[in-house]
Amino acid sequence: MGPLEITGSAKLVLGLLTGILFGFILQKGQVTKYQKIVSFFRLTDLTVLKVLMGGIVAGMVGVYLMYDLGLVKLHIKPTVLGANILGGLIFGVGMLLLGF
Amino acid sequence: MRWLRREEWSWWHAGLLLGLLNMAAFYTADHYLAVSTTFSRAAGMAVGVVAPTHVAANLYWQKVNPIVDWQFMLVLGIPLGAYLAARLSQRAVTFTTQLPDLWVNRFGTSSARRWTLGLLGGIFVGFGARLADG
Repeated sequence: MGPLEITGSAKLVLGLLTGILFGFILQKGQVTKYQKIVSFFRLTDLTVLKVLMGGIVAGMVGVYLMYDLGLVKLHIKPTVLGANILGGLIFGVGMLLLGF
Repeated sequence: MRWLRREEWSWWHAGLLLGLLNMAAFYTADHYLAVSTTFSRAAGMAVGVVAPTHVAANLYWQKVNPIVDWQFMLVLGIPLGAYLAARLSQRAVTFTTQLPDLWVNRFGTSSARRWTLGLLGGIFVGFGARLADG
């Protein structure tokens, strides 16, 4: 049990395929669009929030189910509130300065 | 197939699929969907071109090796997937350097300012993401 053990170049190809799907979903979900990102920060269009929260919630439930079935390992990072909050704020400012 | 050609999906289609993709990543690669470590690795590669001994002696890069791994390939895949998604819903994808109106209204059209803020924004995004450990 546990996650699959894929190694070497097969794992790299897997990463590329996962990335292609990731980019595909983000684009179709409108999350890649400047207009949508700015509108989220201005609270006039919450598409970005809904897509990302939807992804997080679905992923949380799904990954935990797989964990209970012994299919995956969890990767839990420490919570450092100060760094998490400050980092998030700086990230947000940067995103809007960028303009894309 | 018409669904793949749609300009946009409803938020819960995209959200649900992101959740499923994350589950697949946990199962197939023992990884979660994340991108920022790749930029640290790429920085290591870039510095390694001019100062390989510095990179080899650096404690961080000894732990986070500047190598191409699963996540590095993930990051390369993202623009490919996004292009494919855009291409499927229109005849041609055009690349433009035209700035969004909102950005121009706030910061103007000065190209020096554009470059400065672009660079500054990129530094903030990178620094913030790593500080928050996200």
